[in-house]
Amino acid sequence: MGAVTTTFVDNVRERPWRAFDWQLLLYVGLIVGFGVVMGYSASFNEAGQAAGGISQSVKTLLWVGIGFTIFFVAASIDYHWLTTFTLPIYIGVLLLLVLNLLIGRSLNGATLSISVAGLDFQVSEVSKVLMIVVLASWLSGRREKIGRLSTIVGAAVLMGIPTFLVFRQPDLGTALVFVAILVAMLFMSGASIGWMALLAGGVVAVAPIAVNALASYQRARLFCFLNPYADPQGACYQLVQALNAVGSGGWFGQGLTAGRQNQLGYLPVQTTDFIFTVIAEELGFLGGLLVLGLFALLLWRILVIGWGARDALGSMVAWGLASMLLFQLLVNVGMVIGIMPVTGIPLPFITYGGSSMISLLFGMGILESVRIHARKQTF
Amino acid sequence: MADLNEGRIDLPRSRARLIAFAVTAAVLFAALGGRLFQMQVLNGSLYADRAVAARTIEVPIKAPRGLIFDRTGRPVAVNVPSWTVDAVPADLPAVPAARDAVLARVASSTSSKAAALKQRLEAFRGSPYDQVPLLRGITRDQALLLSEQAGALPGIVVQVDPVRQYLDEAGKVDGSLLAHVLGYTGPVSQDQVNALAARGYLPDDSIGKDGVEASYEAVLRGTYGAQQVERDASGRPIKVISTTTQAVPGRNLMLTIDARLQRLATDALTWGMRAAGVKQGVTIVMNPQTGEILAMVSLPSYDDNQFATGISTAAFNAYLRNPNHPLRNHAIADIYPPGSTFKLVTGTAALMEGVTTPTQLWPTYGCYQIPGAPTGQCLFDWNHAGFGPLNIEQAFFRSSDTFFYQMAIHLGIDRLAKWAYNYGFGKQTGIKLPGEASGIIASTEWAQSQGRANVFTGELAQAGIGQNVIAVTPLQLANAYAALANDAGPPLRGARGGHQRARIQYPRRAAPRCAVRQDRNRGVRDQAIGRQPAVPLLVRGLPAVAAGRDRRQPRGADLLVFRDGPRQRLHRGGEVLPAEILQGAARLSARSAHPEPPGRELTDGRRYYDIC
Repeated sequence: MGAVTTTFVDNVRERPWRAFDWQLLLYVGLIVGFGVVMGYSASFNEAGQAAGGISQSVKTLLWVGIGFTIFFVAASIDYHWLTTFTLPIYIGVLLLLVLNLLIGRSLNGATLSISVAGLDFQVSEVSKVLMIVVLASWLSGRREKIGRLSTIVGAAVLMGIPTFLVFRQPDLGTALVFVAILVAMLFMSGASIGWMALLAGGVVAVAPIAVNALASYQRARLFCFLNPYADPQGACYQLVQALNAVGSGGWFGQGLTAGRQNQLGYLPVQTTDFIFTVIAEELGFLGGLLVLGLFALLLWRILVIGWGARDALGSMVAWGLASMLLFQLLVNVGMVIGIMPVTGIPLPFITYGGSSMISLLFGMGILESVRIHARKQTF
Repeated sequence: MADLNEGRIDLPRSRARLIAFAVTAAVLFAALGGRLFQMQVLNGSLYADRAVAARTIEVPIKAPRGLIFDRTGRPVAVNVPSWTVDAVPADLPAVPAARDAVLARVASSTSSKAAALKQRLEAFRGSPYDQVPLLRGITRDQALLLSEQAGALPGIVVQVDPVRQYLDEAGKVDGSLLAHVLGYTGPVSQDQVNALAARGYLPDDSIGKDGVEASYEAVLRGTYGAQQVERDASGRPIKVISTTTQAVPGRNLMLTIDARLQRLATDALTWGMRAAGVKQGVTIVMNPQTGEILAMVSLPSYDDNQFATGISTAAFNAYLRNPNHPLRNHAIADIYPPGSTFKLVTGTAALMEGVTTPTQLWPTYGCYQIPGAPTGQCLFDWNHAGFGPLNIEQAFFRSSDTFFYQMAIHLGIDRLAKWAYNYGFGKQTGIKLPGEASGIIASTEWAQSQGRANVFTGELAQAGIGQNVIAVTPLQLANAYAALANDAGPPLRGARGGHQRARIQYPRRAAPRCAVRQDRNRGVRDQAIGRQPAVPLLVRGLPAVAAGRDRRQPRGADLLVFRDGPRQRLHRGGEVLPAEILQGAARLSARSAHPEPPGRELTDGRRYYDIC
């Protein structure tokens, strides 16, 4: 037994980059590159007006540079250090979220970021990846107790506190992402499906109460999702404009920087939450398919890495990141094509935002570390 | 090979759950892709059409308004650029102090008040991307001054709009010469907008408000075009997609008015009014062969350029308060007792109805006893002495009132009224100017409308000399005499009695220029006097009407002058109309001394319209 372990460790020590997963880097790189191009196109009409400041695309490239640096740093360190820092990370996340509620900068009525040295730091974006790490670390330590109810309750409490803090910002989107991550990671960890189903049933039962608790603008968005053309000039204006833009794309789209809906300013927050609208309008169905395809490849790659991970910690990090990406993709793309309610959830790697980019690339870096330290045999 | 799970030190891994996760992911990807295919490929055109419709609006293209020329081709109403200053609230500085500084700079450059500008800006309710009008009609120099400071004036837009400008005979800006003929254009009122919207009028449109600007509105306006314009999300027009309809410019208008003659007539009337000590006056110069009106002066006048550029409330109220009603065209809108000039009607009626023969002698009186009235109720002849027995030609020459009292009484009111109608009195002449009055011609029917069985005998007698129950517009009077003069009779000799030599020559075959009016006059004349021997008789007698009555009247070459009636009270429509006619004067010049007008068709092939 000891021999086997030694062999494995030696293998890594001798050729640490031998197992480096180039496919993961390739898919991430393609999606990030695509995002830079689309971000440029989406902000094209604003470029002339942003006199004096650094243009958005330059900022994006700066974040991408920092992000990939962190990616390689995280990849080169054994991910087991994460277990050592689980508690400090968790406390740090909670402190940051509380701090964000107290002194955060307000945007459209929601406190979403802390401004540090002129740069907006979106705590909720960073906390998603960090909470995956925390949850993965905690679940991997449960071992034989994994099938008990206490696993589910414990994970729910662990995740529930930051979820509540994020919800209070209010950032419904990120709160939903937390819940999705929690459910997916519990499921993949081997938690009791019976208990989970029971609890899920309870949640569904109180759903009407939750809808009532939503802010009026959130309810209006929900209503628009059900019938966007009922109020195309009022509450559903943005969604209708987005739907029209997506539909206008056709097979091949109207060309980069040539989407009329985008360039004439009809799309809401077109560089962030509605970036997929720009992709669909300017690059058409094929462009949209390209994005979905790249994400499908990336997800498959993450699942491969998770399955081949040396231990539960590595697997759980992979499951967490995979479920986060899948959920965000589903909700973000779903909302601009009218099959999901409008919630502020970014499209990973493509939506403009430094905090999101850095934390995602940090997560991908951990995955590379998982891959590098994986078992010899993969499935 | 060793156990696959060798080295695993913690949780078991479930292949089933991984497959479940992967399948879920695959289903979700398929759903996204399928929905995308449905929206973009299957229903793409539906969404594309919605998108185009939502960001495209139809914007009207204004048509340039037709110009107005006088009969010799002098422009009298033209379009000139007017510099306007607008503010776009969204582009103004957000800081109140900086915003006030911009307004202050605008104010100082245009010698206006910053407070007034601020008030206009703050009173505006609408999109912050709309243009808020701050100033209208600033000078070119002020506009240039503002444009030079454009860098320091964010949110301030200086632009050019066409505005109407009225010129005099010399091409100088002078709105008073032809104000009553031309009228003016002004903004469409809120009340009108709804009714006019169907005809393509815009809320900020302008429309002819008076004069030929109003009566020929449809011709002058042209047809507005339309274009499809793509807007950005804030409503700003970005790009013209297509022109749906081209704008058709308004057609030009050519008046029968001769602006130079209008000036001469204005000067003459101004002098005459001063000499006579009156405040209101009318001169109409008409070609009696064609009915064309060569000059139409109503004094006092007003400046229609004030209206075209937007008149101030103070200036407008000053016009309204002026007791001489400068805004009214006295030539057509006001009625006056015609006095002795009406003897044309009475004389014609008496001859045509057989009340008298051309040679029959009638007694005249110092004061004519009204038949059926108590003794002593009599009506004076103008000299309070009478002229002895007169035939009708002598009666015209003397302008004997008592002679025509008798004619009227023997005619009766309705036969007198019939001949008045035949001459065109008591109804609108149909001149294409707004606001024409019909006048009053007493008749049985008229008396009954006043609640009486008939007119009193005294009123009937006075009607014979155009007093008391007779009121006409100066244009009607001019028309009636044109109808008389219109017949190509023998050349007149000058009037007798050592007075002026009224050398009046009729062009025997004047080319008809204005068919409508000519037909009307010919018709009136044919109805009125036909080809009876009465015509030369009347024509010979008439100059004396002008010559005989008023010694103070300057003797000119005019065929007729009538001045009449201080403070007449006229009855109309069953109520006392407090129309205090202070002083009225109308002249009819039947001279053909004016030069022949040039041809109607200009070489550019555009059509021109006559006012007649």
